[in-house]
Amino acid sequence: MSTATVSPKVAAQHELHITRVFDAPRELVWKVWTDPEHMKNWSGPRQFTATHVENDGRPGGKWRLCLHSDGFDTGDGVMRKLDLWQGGEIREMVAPERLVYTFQWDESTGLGSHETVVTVTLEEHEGKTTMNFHQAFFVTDKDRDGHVRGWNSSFDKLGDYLGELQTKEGLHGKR
Amino acid sequence: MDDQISSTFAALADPTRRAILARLALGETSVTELAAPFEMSMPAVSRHLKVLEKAGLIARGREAQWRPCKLKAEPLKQAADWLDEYRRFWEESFDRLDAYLQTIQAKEAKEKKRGRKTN
Repeated sequence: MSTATVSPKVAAQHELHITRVFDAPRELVWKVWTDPEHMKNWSGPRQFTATHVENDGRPGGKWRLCLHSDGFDTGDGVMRKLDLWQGGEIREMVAPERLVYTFQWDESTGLGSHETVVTVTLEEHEGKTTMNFHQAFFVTDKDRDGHVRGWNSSFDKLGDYLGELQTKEGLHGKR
Repeated sequence: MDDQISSTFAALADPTRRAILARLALGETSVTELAAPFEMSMPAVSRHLKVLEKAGLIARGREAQWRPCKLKAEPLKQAADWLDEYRRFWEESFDRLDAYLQTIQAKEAKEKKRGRKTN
């Protein structure tokens, strides 16, 4: 294990961290995250409806869903019918506060079939729920186990961090 | 495209390799200099450099005595763009989640009211 300090910006290149506050009690947010009947009503971006939602709902179980669009422009000006299948395995479920699962697109989607790990934690304060969402991009089990957890940096574009590194930090602060 | 993204993320998944990339962002340098901050053997550092080179994230000079390592920014930029897409994907999903939670609660409140009236 290395002993060098790593710029948070370099670490941020491989994971996603989103925090949201929902005006709803935690139990409800948990239900909506884990119950397939609810999951299909919000999963996916605006242009998609989630069809075919399955969720074993327990650690070690699997989940799967399909994002369907009747007409989606993938960038070339042609409207296409799309069915994007995604799924994974549930790693941890501690109701109503912590959910950890793997997320992977089917190869047929062409979106990159590498597996990512999603961690969702829910905290309630005064009737509102704070959701911390974290998605880590790893490829192999070995890489996953070697990951140092706890980066809490926001995501920046490469150009910004390169610029900032050049004016600010050296690898171990001496340069 | 898919393979390159996967290789990039595999390379970035290791903190030592991220530290190496951070140093190279400041300019090209030798393997010895790159290895300096780590309590790690030269062969171990070389292994990391091989992964980075295979992933297309660094270029290494060919002269025997001085093989400078240089950062190649394009794959990292692609990974950054890729993560941008994911971020947008999730933010939109959470917008829908937010609206859905409001809908459920409004419905529950209405039904509760109706229940009270018929009692």
